[in-house]
Amino acid sequence: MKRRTGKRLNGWGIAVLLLFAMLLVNIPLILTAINSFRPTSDILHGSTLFPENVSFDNYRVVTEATDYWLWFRNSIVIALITTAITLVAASFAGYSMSRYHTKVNSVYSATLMVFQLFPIVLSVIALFILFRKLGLMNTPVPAVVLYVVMSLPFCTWISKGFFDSIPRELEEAARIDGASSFQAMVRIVVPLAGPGAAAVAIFAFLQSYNEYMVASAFLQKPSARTIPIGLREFIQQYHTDWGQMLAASTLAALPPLIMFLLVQKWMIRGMAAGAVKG
Amino acid sequence: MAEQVTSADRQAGRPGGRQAGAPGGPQTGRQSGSQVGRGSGRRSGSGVGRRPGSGFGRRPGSGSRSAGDMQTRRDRWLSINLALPSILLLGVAQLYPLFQGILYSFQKGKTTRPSQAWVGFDKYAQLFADPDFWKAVRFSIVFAIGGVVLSYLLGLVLALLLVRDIPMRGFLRVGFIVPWVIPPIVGMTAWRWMLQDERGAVNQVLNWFGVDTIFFFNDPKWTAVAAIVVKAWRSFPFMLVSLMATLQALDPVLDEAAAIDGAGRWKGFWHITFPQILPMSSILWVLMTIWSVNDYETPYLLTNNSANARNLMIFSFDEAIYRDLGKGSASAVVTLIVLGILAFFMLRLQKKASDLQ
Repeated sequence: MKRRTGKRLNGWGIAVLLLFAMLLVNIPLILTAINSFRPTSDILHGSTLFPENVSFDNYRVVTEATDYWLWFRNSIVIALITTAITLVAASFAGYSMSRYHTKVNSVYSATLMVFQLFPIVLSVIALFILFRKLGLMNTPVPAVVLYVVMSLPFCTWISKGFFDSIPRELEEAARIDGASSFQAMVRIVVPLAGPGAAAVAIFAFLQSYNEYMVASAFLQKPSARTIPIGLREFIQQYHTDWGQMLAASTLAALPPLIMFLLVQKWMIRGMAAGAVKG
Repeated sequence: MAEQVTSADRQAGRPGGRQAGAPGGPQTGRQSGSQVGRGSGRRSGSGVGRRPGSGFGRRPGSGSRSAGDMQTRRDRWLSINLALPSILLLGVAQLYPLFQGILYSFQKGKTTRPSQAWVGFDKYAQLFADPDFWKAVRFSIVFAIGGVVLSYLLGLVLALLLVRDIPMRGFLRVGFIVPWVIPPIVGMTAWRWMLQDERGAVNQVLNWFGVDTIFFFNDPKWTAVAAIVVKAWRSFPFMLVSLMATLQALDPVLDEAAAIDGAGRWKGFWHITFPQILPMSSILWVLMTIWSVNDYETPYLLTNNSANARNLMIFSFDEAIYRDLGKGSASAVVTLIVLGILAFFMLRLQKKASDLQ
């Protein structure tokens, strides 16, 4: 009895410690959010840790008097297209690598690590010149292409690991019952692919929504900007207005956070399956 | 028997090529010879060495060979076509820029007028003579190693605590992943704000403890420290999730046996747990090092493109797009080569580690 209570207290002790650590880790975001509700004058002259006057002014200015929603729309469009393409490409490739051990796949699998280490700068240099010539600057095209490629190696790895964890026997059973490979894949594997798909999707979405460098290289026109570029704009132009900067930051952090919270259970399960089996 | 093939297949598929060779045993005879040693045995069609009653057991009956052939051909067609979109995309966005980049590095030019003239290795010579290049190399190394070590340790400690059965575990785990999820611009701006002169939160806390104000962005040494800490802050969630997954897949029997034998917690960890997570850990080290060297955003956004925090990515980009296309391309190519060598050695290390298991 005593040992049991002891263990329970031990568990709670660790949990409380970890809770404190977790809040500490998230201080940058917490401070950003809290201070976004203070007028800038307060932020500059008062203490950073304890807000006095609460105001929504910063948010009002950001949402009404800046291009925030334009940047948001651009970011979401690019992110959604990237996620869709990556999901399809990575799932197909991952499934193929998991089930069919052909020469193409073994080469591709071995070189996956090579693709992973490719410095994105090298891609940007050549594609910058190419897309300029093709007149595709300030369109979603360069960004989507690069973001998909940046996500593919890791997403394919996760996807393959995940498919490895789905027993082949299920598809074999379906084939004995007369289904073709394709039908077996669609009817058996796809319904089970939730966690793997969630992991791939969230990773691709984060990669494209959060990314700064590629966006800044290819989307220079004000009408084409995404959120990271727009936020940086704030620092340059309104560099004294921390209040608005923090409000914009808080707003910008919400979509990825919300998406992550929605799919996190699946995503972690998908990543875990990939990590263990892969 | 079916399990035997499946797990061998799984092992063989690891990226970076754990080429497991033929799965061995009775299955070998069934392969049609052209395959690289791995196989599900479904490929032969020609019927070489097909022994009735051995191996799979669940195979569609030994009946019509033509049905088997059709299956095989469709499998192969499907396998190639499924991987095709990925291969095409990677070709456009990596192979083409690679060759083009190499070409540019041997030429004189600007982004508006590339490929003006061939200058051989001139650009490389200029590059290696440039002190800013070596400064970027040094910073990249320090940044990568510091970031990997710190994020790994932090992730490991937290993973060890979070795999236990404690209350609020799910909530805590999600909370720790947040730094990885929010856009870098948001995180870096927040840190920039916290690390600024006397008014920044960090300095306010330091002052409260009696420590003098540190001007993080003026002193190159402290800039590097700040960059490493912030990088670790961004990266540890990835380590955390991967290590948790690995730890949870371990066999608890070994830990219990060690505990029964009286091993202390530290000994238990070092001799039982750590060797088991070593293969995965080494993969994580390789991945994170690569990602750190390739990280443009963290140093750039944190320090607002300060000269104290230029790593190879920032240097190459700036040089190629705004100044000398040839020199910048050379820098990017050199970075790729270095990363390749690094990855090669680290993968050998990882292979050794997992072979030891």
